[in-house]
Amino acid sequence: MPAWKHDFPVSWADDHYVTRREFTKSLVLVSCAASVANGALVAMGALEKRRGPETLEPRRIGFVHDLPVGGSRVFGFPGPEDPCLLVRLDADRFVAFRQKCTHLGCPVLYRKESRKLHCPCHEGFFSAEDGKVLAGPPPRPLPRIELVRKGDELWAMGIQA
Amino acid sequence: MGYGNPGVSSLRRIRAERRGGLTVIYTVMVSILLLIVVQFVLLVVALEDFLSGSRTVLSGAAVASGACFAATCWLIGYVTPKRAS
Repeated sequence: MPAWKHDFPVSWADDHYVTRREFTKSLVLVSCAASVANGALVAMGALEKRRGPETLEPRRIGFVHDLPVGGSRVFGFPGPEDPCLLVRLDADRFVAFRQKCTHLGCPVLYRKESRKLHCPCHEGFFSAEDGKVLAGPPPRPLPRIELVRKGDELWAMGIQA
Repeated sequence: MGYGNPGVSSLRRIRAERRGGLTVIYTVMVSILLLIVVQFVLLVVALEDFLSGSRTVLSGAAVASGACFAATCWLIGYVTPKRAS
């Protein structure tokens, strides 16, 4: 055996060799990561719960003449980062719902032809009349926004769970 | 052939011990993999629960996932050689 092999006994190929034991140890890291992710979800849920109910201040969301019959428009309520969907069902009938699907939070869209709210992610359907689940995986109806018409203006007043 | 030869019998013993050790490591490896699969299922369930806003199984899933991690740690400790103090 040449003298240099005594100094460098591990070949290049063997240098990258992973033993069964090392591989098994790396699996523990994966398990740890999954456990931490689960804990993070609990922490995020607790933080949201701690923030408590939002203070709802009435907010003007638009004008009646801005929205044609059968049309829909997205607005933010109670804050600008909380998307809601305003729908004009008839000349004098407006309804509004939170836009987040109650299944996994995808935004729902209004389908004028069927008068339904449609979640394209997992084919969930809600009634545009009252937000009830018509089909698909959503477990709960869409939270409804209380609307008040003041002359030509539409105001969002609160949220019905 | 080789009976009564102390060198050959010790070689057999070493091979048998190695086979036994390998069996233990493979068993632990498969067990840990199964636990990780369970943890991923729990994570998916917890994520769906979180996104839907119902928050009914979040804590339970986290506790079960922690238990799986503890079991994984115990299993890896089982095959890790103890250092002589």
